[in-house]
Amino acid sequence: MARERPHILRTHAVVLRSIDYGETSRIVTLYTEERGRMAVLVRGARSSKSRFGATLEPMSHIEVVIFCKPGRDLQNLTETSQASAWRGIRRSLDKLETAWRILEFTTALMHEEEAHRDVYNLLVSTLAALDVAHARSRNLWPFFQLRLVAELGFEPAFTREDIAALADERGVLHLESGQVAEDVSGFTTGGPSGAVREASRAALRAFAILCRADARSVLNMHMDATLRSEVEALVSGYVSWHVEAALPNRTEKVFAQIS
Amino acid sequence: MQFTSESVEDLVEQFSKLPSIGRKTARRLASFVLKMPKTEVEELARALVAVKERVRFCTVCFNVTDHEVCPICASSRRNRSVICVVEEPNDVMALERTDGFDGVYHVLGGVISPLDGIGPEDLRIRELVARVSEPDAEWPVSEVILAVNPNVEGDTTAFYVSKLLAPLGVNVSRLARGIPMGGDLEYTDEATLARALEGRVSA
Repeated sequence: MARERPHILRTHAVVLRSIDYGETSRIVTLYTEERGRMAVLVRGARSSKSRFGATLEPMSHIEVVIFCKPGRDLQNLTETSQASAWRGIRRSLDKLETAWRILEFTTALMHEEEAHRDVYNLLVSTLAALDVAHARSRNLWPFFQLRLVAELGFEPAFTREDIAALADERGVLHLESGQVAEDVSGFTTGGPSGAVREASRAALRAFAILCRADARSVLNMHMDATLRSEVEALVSGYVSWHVEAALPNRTEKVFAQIS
Repeated sequence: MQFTSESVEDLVEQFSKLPSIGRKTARRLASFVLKMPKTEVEELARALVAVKERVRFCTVCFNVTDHEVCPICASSRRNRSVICVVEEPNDVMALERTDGFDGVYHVLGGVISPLDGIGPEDLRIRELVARVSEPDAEWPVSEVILAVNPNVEGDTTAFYVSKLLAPLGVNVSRLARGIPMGGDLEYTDEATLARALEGRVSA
């Protein structure tokens, strides 16, 4: 078997997390275009003469050069440059909350070194939309959750047309199959009791749009406080059903204290 | 290689618990302690115990002190209408070294760090709001300077503190961010340079 040789990896990445290590170094968790989630060691990152500057801050979109040596737990990051500025994210507490949640969710759900270019593109397009959002930036949080679990194989199986076909103003979402019906008797697949969520037609319609629209279009969706809270609960119920074991809640707890 | 004495090994173990001290440095420190005169070792031990027994937090600013109120808060020369909010006691020392600030401090004890689960309730933000809002005829608070680090956690904390202080009618400012003195534009990263451009001042 050929032995893997040390090599240089050049790729784009989003910084998910950055923690201090030793006197001047940092361990940075990246979501890279080429290799998915990856933790790297950045020597001297905290030194006042560091050439990395602000590029290693969470929510940064950067181009990186990583020296990869087989058998090492942490590879060495040697160079960074900014790929997108995304300064708008750091200009409001609402945007920061959404961004923190997205980073925590991605870190929890994605495994180390599992390349998934669609997830990288989703992460970049969502943060880019958040950066330019003037209003409704909170729409991007349920959007991102649904789209990420869809990338992991749990895509809901209904569209806006299915909601339009509902006879009543309310419907039922089957969490396991992601199907919608007028009531529980309408499902073709079975499921344990409690595995459904009843919701208004408007919430189910918003759910369907979040599953299909792109990040920038989601910013045009108007949801009043009642509808937003219903949609968020519906999305949270659906996501929890599929990836409950991996679901983080630190960010949620912190922002519950803030709001 | 290990020492042949359990006491020395124990000392190495204790030293290696300190930040940025690995086993090798811990062994070097233990060897140094072995060579020190007994009186100096006793002084060191006394200082270590005293720091835990005597040092407490200032009841006003939460900086570390040996007294109920720290010398800065107790000083009549300080301008108590300007409060500089910092993350840690080390930041107070850094700002005091500049010799350019005559106000008082408030030490938060950290910053909001969502990924670590550190929220406002884990910090001394409530105490800051109480301090700013409490009526003091002699020194009404006119300005709060947020001297938190210029990173995303610092931004999150600054936004939250500003939101809480806004209804109290005080001027809330933040330390300038940009190119360090003696720095070089060519080697400054794009994000820092962009922030420096945004925060430019009249020449």
